[in-house]
Amino acid sequence: MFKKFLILTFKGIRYRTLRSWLTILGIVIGIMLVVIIFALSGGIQKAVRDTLQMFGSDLVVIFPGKETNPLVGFLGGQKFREKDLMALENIEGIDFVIPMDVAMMNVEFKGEKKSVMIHAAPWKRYSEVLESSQGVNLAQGRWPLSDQVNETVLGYLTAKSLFKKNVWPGDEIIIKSKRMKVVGTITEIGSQMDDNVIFVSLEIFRNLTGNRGGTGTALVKLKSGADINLVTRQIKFQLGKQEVVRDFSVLTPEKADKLVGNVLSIVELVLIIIAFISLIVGAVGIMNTMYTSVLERTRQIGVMKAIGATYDNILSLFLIESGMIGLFGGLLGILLGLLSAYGIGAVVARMGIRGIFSWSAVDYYGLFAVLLITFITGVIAGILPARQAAKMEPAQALRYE
Amino acid sequence: MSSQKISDHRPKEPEKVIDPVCGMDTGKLEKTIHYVWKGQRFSFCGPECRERFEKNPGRFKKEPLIILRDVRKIFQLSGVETQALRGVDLHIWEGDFVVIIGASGSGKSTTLNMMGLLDLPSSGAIQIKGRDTSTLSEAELAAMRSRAFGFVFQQFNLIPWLTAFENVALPPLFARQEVNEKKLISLFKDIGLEERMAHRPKELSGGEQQRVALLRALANNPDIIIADEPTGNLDSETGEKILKMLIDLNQQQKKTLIIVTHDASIAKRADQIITLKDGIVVANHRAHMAYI
Repeated sequence: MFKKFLILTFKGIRYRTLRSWLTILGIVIGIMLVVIIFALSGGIQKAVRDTLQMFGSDLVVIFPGKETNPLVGFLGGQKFREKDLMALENIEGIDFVIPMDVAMMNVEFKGEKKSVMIHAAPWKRYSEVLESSQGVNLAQGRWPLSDQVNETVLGYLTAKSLFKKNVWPGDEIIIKSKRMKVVGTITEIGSQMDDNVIFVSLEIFRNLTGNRGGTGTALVKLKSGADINLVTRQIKFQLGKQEVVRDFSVLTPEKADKLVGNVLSIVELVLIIIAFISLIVGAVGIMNTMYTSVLERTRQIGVMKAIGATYDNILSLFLIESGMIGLFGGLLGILLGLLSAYGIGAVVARMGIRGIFSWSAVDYYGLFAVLLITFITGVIAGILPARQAAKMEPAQALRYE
Repeated sequence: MSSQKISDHRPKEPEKVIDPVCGMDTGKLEKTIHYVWKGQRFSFCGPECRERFEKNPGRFKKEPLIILRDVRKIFQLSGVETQALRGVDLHIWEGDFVVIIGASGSGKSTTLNMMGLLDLPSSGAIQIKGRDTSTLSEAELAAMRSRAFGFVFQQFNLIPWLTAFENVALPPLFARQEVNEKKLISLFKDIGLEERMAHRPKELSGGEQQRVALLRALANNPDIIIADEPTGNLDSETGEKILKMLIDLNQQQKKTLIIVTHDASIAKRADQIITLKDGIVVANHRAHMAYI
């Protein structure tokens, strides 16, 4: 019975091809947007989380700016005094502090110029932290012998694909007009951002930038068994006494993860609101179409009633129809949304950021929920028009011209 | 018969004297024929009804298939009240071929709609197969429409987005019956349309559409066929074919056939002719053709 009604409705929808498609389109656009953003937000979240995992669990990062808005501090270019940071080593539980800095610089290799993120830190301790806490190892060559020599280590992609020709240990590159000898390359970390870097010593970095005393960030390595929360509080207290950088953040891996989660959940909330609004707009579209179609089919409703259709029959026919329009809209929106997300992912990957979209990261239960919601929306939007149709008196409907 | 007083609550009116054959209220007529049969006194609207009674009194002592008793219908058209029916009294007998005639606006289609339960009266009573329809729920009305009646319309009224076959399969679907496809196909074969089964209505000629509509009316094997100007949109030759099919159903399968028409030639073949004028039955036999 239901199957026959379904077929009946489907034929009705197909009979009014253009209008049906336009109504479906009203749902498609909203759902497509939502699916794109959700599919990508998962990827972005994953990419950010992957990067965060770089930090070992025994590391704390200090950077200027409020925790809630870390980018401002970074971009603002505020610098700590190195001695304020190094003084933190007196805190019990801290093994050592690595002052660090980053900047984009022009790098030339065999006449080819590129802009690359330069990471700077004292070699000895930094290489130790990279290897022990962050699982980053040398792929080729060695670490530089001291902070004073003009030697550098390249990230995986910098060596492999940044320049037309591969850069090998022993090659020479020019960073901001200073000749540096490449002595090693490191293994692939897996994120575009982390693999496209060049490491230099903090001393050389300061020579390059001309900025002598300041340090952008610091990596704090804890002693094993130290209470990370206690140490964090102590760092905040002690660093609060210096007056160069008023707002600063002490970020533990746990907190960083939470922070990213917060930002993304706000984004998701906004998206849900947008999705909700677009769904309402779509529903109004369905309702409009259904009212028109009830009016247009008044005569046929009269005929169907004359040959024995009950109130419930007519009601279900129209409800199935509006539900199906919603469902088609949802289905098509999801398909187009996924395809677009895939396309965007592919384009962004070409620009250097990979892993934004992956089929395995798609939340298929979520998509099913979207489908269910569009179907229910369709049915709800159809209730009033369907009731109007079902209530018609057959003779009156048959007279309708 | 006069004791059959349904929903007549106007005070101080004389008891109705109903013609036992056609159901007219003879009290409203200028001339009536009185007749005594087996000691019982009857009033007839005219000699035709009396003749029918005389031929087979037993038949008319039973209960009619359809009874309309003082049926009135008022339409509200943009605030203005229009009386479409002003007290119609009728009997329809099982197996009869009944023609309803009258000028346009006389209320003949409205009367037909009342009989077919397509419309509800503003007042008065309708009894079909012994059941007072005013007590029926919406679902029971639909069930009765689906099982007791087959409708044929002037405009054919096939569902445009369904094929001919699907149109014919609709009534069983609504009646929650299993669609017997073999039976439907054989029906299509009988009327020579088996090759047009998969066509949509707009791909069929008028005559073909009306034949499909006729099949649809027969799909639930109803006892009563109701046709509102079934030949009105067809050329005379095709119309004659459709009419022959309808009359065959009446004569061979003993289905009660009620047709609304303008066409006097159709009326001549009927068992009963109901003539309407300005919302009332003015004549119920063959003599009053002048009103067509």
